[in-house]
Amino acid sequence: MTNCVTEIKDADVIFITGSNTSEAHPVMGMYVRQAHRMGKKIIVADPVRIPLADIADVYLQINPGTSVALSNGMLNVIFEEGLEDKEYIEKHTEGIEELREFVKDYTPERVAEICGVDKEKIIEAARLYAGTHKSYIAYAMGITQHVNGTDNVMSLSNLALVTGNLGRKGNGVNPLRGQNNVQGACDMGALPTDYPGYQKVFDPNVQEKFENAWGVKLNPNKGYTVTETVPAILEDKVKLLYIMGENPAVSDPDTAHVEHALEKAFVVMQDIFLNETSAFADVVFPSTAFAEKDGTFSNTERRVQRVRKIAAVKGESRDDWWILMQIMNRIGYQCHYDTAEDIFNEMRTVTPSYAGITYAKIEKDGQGVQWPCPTEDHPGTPILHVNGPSRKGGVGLLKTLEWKPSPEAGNPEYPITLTTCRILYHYHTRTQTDRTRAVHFTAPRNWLEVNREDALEMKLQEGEWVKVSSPRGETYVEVRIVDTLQNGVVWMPFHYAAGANLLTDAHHLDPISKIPGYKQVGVKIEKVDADKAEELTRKAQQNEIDYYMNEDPKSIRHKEHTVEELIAAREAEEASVYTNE
Amino acid sequence: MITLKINNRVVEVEEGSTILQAAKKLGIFIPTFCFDDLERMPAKHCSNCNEYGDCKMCSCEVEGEVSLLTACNTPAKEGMVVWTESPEVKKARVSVLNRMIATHPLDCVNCKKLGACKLQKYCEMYGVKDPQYVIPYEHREKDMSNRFYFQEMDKCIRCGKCVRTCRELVGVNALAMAQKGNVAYVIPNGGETMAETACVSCGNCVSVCPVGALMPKSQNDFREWETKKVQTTCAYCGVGCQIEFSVKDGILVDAKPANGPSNQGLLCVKGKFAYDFINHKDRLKYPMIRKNGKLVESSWDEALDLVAGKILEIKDTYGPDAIAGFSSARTVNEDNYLFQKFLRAGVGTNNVDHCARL
Repeated sequence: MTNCVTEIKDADVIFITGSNTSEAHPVMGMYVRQAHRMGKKIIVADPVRIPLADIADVYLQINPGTSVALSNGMLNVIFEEGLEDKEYIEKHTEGIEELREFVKDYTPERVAEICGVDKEKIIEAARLYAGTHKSYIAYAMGITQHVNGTDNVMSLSNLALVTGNLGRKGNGVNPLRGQNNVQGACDMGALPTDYPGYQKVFDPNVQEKFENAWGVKLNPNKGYTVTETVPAILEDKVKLLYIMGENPAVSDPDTAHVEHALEKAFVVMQDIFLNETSAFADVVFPSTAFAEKDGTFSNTERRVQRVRKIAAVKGESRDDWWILMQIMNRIGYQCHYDTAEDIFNEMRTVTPSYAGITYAKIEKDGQGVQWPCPTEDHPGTPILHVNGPSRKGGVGLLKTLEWKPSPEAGNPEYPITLTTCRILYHYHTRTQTDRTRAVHFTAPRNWLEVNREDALEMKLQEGEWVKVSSPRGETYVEVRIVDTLQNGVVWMPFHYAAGANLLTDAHHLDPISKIPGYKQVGVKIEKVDADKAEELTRKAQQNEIDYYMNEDPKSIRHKEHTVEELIAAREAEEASVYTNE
Repeated sequence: MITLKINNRVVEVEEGSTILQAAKKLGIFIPTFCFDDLERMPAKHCSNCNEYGDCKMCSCEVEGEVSLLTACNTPAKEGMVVWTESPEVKKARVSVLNRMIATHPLDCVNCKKLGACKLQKYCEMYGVKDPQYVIPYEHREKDMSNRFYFQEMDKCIRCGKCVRTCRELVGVNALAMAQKGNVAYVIPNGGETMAETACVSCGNCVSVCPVGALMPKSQNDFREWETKKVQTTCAYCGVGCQIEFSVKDGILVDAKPANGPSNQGLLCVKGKFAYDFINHKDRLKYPMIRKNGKLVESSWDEALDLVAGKILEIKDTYGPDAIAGFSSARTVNEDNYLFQKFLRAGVGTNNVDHCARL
């Protein structure tokens, strides 16, 4: 994020696109509601009518995958009406003439057609967004998880640059990062092209620096991303896969394809639970959970905060870094660390943006430190690009971006667009959240949301089982009928094993970021016959009974009761604990 | 800057500060119920007492004023002379507490909030033992309908903090205050039970409740004084909320929002309630190796040697780029740094990535 999480309340206009903020970043969603109470304007552009759309001043229910067109359309209006920040453009951007010329084609009429929204609303959104220097863009996977995800992001950066909405309190381009430490993992160089601090592996100077620091020759070739590793295994290029705290058998696109790869490779896993991936693991190391270790997380606003050892370590499990250190020593790279802080201090010496951050400084006033923080007396940086974009000499590049329909759209055999989503109660592949009983019983199994009109047309009923298939595979889910979707768009949570990712595509990736198009998958929906439906219901009930058994092994009630009765019994049991009588 | 005197001690505060803030600066304790300690919501009682109830617990004596003033929302003035524990103030507070315990069951030994309850603490401070008034009130059934917390509204003292938190901070408005006769009740807004409201189970109402009227359903058996409190960063989404965990004998038993820079004393349902996985019986406790198609327990040395041997063998036969690693966005920076160093410096490949794209 260029700015801070709480600055969303300082903004005059909040533009939320491709983020179901109140479900995936609930505390930020609360801030949006607070801002709304303060009378701030809210624009929401999302194919799904997210809960925050209800409080939005302008809600654009765009077709999936049309963000570039929408941004171009808004730029068109901004230029037509002279709402751009001419001074900022002059001082801090290049490519304005090309862009101005280019977006002339994206008239509100044409964009309204592409996006499937009212032309008036596009104009209104553009006027609102460009009307102030406190316009805060918040986006998430709904922007990035497309085969043109990079273009989507750059189109938002165009909007911010043209209106001068960058580098000040309450504005900026703010990707809401999904995982607690996804920012930190990127910062630490867990990327195939980057050493810590985004120093490129193919830059000879950087390579030399790290060779000196680490005392070995380093490889100058860029590596495989997650989505490239799986095909590389299938092509026999990669033989051993070391997985630390991930569950690719659920989270990666095209599960069948991932499973073939996992079967083929020698898989080493380091995790706190056995999960779907461990069915393919050859060795599993038990590691400590976040509550059992010391360290730091970097949140979405680049704030480095402490993680503290609170709970007792379970069995023989060890810190992840300890396991890695043992392996490194055994493969001939000698190293020794006593604590997580030792590693942090070594990392500081090679990572300029973290150089000034110490554990003591993070602790000092309980506020953490936001990188870049180059020296120990530097206070950290809450807002980026304060003196113009950090690109060469404070000049941001405006890109002309053509909107292209996704290859998933318009396949007559798979006419319906599936968009995957996260829900409030579950997290990623559920390995953690599903172990809290209340969460499990709130959302125990997968489902598919279908628009009322589509349901009528397909003669689907609430709770009915259907078969959803794509060229990659098929899955059976229950239908829920909703009012939050457009016709021809269906919605499925991403969290469940043997669910959405059986359908997603692992081959068509964004050319730059290699991200899969999780938000736009062509599928077809078929009704299932009565026998199959009964079998599926029975299986789902059995799963519930298994879960209940697993959580409460003393219970023998499962033998004679249905799931509904079991759940009622569980609730009565919970209630009785608090009855004083 | 304004200079005023509290309990005969002089303090200088900024213009616009309240008496409560001035007292805090001096380290003088003034009891409160409905006041938000993090000052995220403006103090609202007195003028808006119809809506939020009126705890009046922070009443203080200000010389020259006819009646007592509430410290939480009375601005400090130049030359003000304030007494926070004068006999008249104490009398007022005793009467406030008396009114509260008239409708509050005094079954403290069986209450899970024991030790953390503000009502209990203040009653002890001001020597309030038995209710002096009889206030007829309607008995309310426990509301167990939410999966994560329950309401026992007979214990409610009507401070209105839960209602305000839900409305003003969370923005969901699942709770409301209703007046029936002379007594106010906190009720589900838009339904008979909490399950029928728009509640998102974030549990912030539970965290702010000063008594045991709103409690988590978790079945951890603990008492306040048995626990140690440690602050850490939440391990779910990227907002980076600060959580204060209560730990008893090495086991997490309760979670409360801490006042972090990005969460401002708020949490969501996952941060507040979904920490059972840490102590779950399925946690991995030993290294495991696949033998005859099955993962079986092994020693650390055996497992480490096997992996190291395999890495060296593959590196020698196929080169370092035949090895790839997925690091994790769920674990700490230190682990991530060492993971990429392991692959880059130890193995000699840049095949390292994590789930940022997924």
